Amino acid sequence: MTTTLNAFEVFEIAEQIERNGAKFYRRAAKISGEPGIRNMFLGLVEWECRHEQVFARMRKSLSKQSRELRTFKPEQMPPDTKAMAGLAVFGIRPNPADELTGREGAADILRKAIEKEKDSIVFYNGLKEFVSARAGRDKIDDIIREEMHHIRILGQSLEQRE
Amino acid sequence: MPMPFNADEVFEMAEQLERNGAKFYRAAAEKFAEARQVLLDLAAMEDEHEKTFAAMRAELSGAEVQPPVFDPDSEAQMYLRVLADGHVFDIKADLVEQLADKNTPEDVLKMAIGAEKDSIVFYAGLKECVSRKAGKDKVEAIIKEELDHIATLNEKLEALK
Repeated sequence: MTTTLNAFEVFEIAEQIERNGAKFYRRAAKISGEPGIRNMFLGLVEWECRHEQVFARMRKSLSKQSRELRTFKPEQMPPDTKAMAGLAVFGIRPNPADELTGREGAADILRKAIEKEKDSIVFYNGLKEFVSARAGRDKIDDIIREEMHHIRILGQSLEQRE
Repeated sequence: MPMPFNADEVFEMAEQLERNGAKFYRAAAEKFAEARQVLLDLAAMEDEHEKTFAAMRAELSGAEVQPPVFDPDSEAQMYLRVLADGHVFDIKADLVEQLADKNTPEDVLKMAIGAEKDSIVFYAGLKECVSRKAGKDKVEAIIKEELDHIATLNEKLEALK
């Protein structure tokens, strides 16, 4: 297993998390029988696609800054790269869409979705350490808040079914 | 809509999470000698987190959890309510009881990682409800420490392979 990660790798993982999230929600929407919950999942697909774009732009922006500064050195990475590698376990999971067999009930799908969102919140809190205010740390805070919103709506939907 | 949480309720939940965490780590340390020291160190850190939250609660006691600058739909409050109601994780769960069917250090480390993740998820919401003046930076610092705990637990898990 990789023992350290650099900022580019961390953003790539973030993009992968969002791609996996979108795939999961598309699959969830496809297998959900209830129109209300299906629409909620389709709405979440759009959120995750937007998040992926934000992370992709931030990664490109990092790369551009490095070329401009010409002083990008791996040893200047924050000391928490090892910690981030540990958190990557939340980001580098097998494709979550594959976890949905089609036989799950709504409550099971919602619980799995909540776990994915929790993983994202944890990973992005770690990701913030790699990003200065100038490089867009506030954008990551925005995404964290949006993932918390996802948990809120998923949790309320689950409550109605338990 | 349910009554908003006040500071007392929210910080009490945070203290409970830390107390549960410390108890769990101490019980786990007794059960698994291979990971004893790292678990005891984590227990001590959770004790400190509990004290931080208790001090914050004492300072804010009686006050409403101050809404963030922009929370027109009480989103942060609703988030905490969903967490408190147990649909995201069970805040009141007895982690020591759950330890009973964990028979390897790997299982307990994975369980610990799950519990730390739940703490971070809760504190992310708590942070949104606490102003800078009331100690938002202290909550941020605790989130960072819980992230470090996950890193430590992962390292130990890797070392056991």
